[in-house]
Amino acid sequence: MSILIILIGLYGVINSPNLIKKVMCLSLVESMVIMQFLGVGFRRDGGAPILNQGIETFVDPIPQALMLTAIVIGVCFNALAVALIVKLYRQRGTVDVRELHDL
Amino acid sequence: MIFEVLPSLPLSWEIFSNLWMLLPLLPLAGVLLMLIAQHSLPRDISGILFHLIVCAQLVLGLLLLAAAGTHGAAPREMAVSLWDYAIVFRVEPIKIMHLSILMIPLLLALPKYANINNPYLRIIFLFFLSGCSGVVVTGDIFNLFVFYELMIMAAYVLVAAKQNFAESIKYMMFGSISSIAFLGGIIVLYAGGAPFNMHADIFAAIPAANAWWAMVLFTFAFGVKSAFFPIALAPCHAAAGSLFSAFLASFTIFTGMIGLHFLVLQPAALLDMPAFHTLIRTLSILTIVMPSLILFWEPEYNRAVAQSTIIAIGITGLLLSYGQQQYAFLYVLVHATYKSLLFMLGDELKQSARFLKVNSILAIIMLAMGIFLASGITPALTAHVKGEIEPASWWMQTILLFSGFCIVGGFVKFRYSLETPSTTHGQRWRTYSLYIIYIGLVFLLYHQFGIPSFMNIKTAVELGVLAVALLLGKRIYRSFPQLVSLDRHWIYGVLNRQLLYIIILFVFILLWLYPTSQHL
Repeated sequence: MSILIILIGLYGVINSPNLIKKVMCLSLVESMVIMQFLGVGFRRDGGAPILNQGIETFVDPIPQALMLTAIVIGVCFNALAVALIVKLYRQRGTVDVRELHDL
Repeated sequence: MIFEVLPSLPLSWEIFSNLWMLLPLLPLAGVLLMLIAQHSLPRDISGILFHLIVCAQLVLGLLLLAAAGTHGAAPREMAVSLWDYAIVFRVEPIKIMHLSILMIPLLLALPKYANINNPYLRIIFLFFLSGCSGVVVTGDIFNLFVFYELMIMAAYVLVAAKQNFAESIKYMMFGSISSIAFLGGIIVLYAGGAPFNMHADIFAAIPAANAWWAMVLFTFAFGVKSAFFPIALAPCHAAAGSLFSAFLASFTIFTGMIGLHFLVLQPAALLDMPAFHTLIRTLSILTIVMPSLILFWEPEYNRAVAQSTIIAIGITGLLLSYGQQQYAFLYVLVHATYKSLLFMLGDELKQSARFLKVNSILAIIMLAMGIFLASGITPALTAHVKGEIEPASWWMQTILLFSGFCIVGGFVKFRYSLETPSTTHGQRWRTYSLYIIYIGLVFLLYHQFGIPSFMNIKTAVELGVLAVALLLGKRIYRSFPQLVSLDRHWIYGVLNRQLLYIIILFVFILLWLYPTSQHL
């Protein structure tokens, strides 16, 4: 399922003329890659990886810890991309890549 | 040959390793300090703080380089804890070379830091510096990802600082796709049970299918980051201010080559998968030939300089694919010197159509020196490496001569003229300081690595090519006006087509490497 959504996201990145939609599609692809990594650490019936009585099976905490960093980077990317697109819109009056000839 | 000339300051390992780990933290501490000062003091002292932090970083880097012969000659790792996935720092000869490549623009830009007037831009630059330093010192793959993102995220802002929002957004799109592929490679490695240390052994310890997929994803990720043809990143680098362009073109883009070396070519050699080397070789040849043509017909000075960086990427990739990593990074080291100068000379030039107005004879001499070093024609230091790229292959040597011809011809086509400088006394002295540092660096490099031998038939051919480029470059350029701005009009077009090229590159990599997956 993740692979399918990644392909849909990539199609949007290549095909959409709107920069905002491109950023949304990129964000979708990134989220699915993160989901994929969390899936690697998944254990059926596993609890949260916190030392506590009664918890014998727990999910792998490493992907969760690493992906937290990747999510923060993703959020920074989205915030910066949207800010730059707003600036570009104010400068050129469009976010359509077909009208931005120097892109 | 190269690592034998490293200086050996007697510094204890404890001090050296602590200073090594301090390298990315110093600019980050500077960011914190500047933010506190910005919001709590009535007067803006960010300029003083910024200069102090950059100078401290430079001193720290040079101190580490001075002790490189003592501690950097053999690989050593420093893990923060004994855990398999702990943060790891790594010292080794390639990392020392990488540090030198960072120190060159940092040193050359010393007279230019005063041009950064905005306090927030200074803070962003320190973030960028922290990311660059982190990429150099890290020894694990996930931290390479994190520091790379820190560096590149700051680079997007630095590109946008000159109101070039379109180029910055394009840079973000390309960077984001390559980072997603990089993260994908990390996932595949982890799923195979590998730790994240940056050495080839981890690929041998996991199932072959995981290693193959990880290497495919890393090839794609670092291929895009390094701007292998047909990835159009050169205009994004050219769009930043001259100081930032110098850093992007001499350091940032070559970090992709470091990734290719550690995470693709070294494991491929260990796992006996030569298809990865032939793939990088093929991409490198394309990356020399096509940008050479683009440069020749490029009418803008800054974009022409940026295209010569892409040619340098191709030559570095070619050397790495032949296993000549020492020569590859020597090439990058020399490239960092002249490329920083060529971009910073942009401040001394004014372009209108094909006319370049230069404000002093000294600037023209410096420009000529930079272009000559870029051409790779003997006795330029870059000529050292040419003999290492399959010397027996005449067609490989022809490609290199062709790129030399295009670089010289591409800069000769501009019409240079002198104009009365309108600069202040202080600005003039800053420019002179840049020239003095540059000449000192070139002298040091020649002193360390020697002058390439030039009493042979190959040199005669090279000088012949140089003469033809000087005499006919302008005429050939004018004879084919339909090829002017070749990349914008014929190759790349709108952003969607450029993004499609990324997918084509990925499919090309998959198809090329698919036969090797059959033997897993």
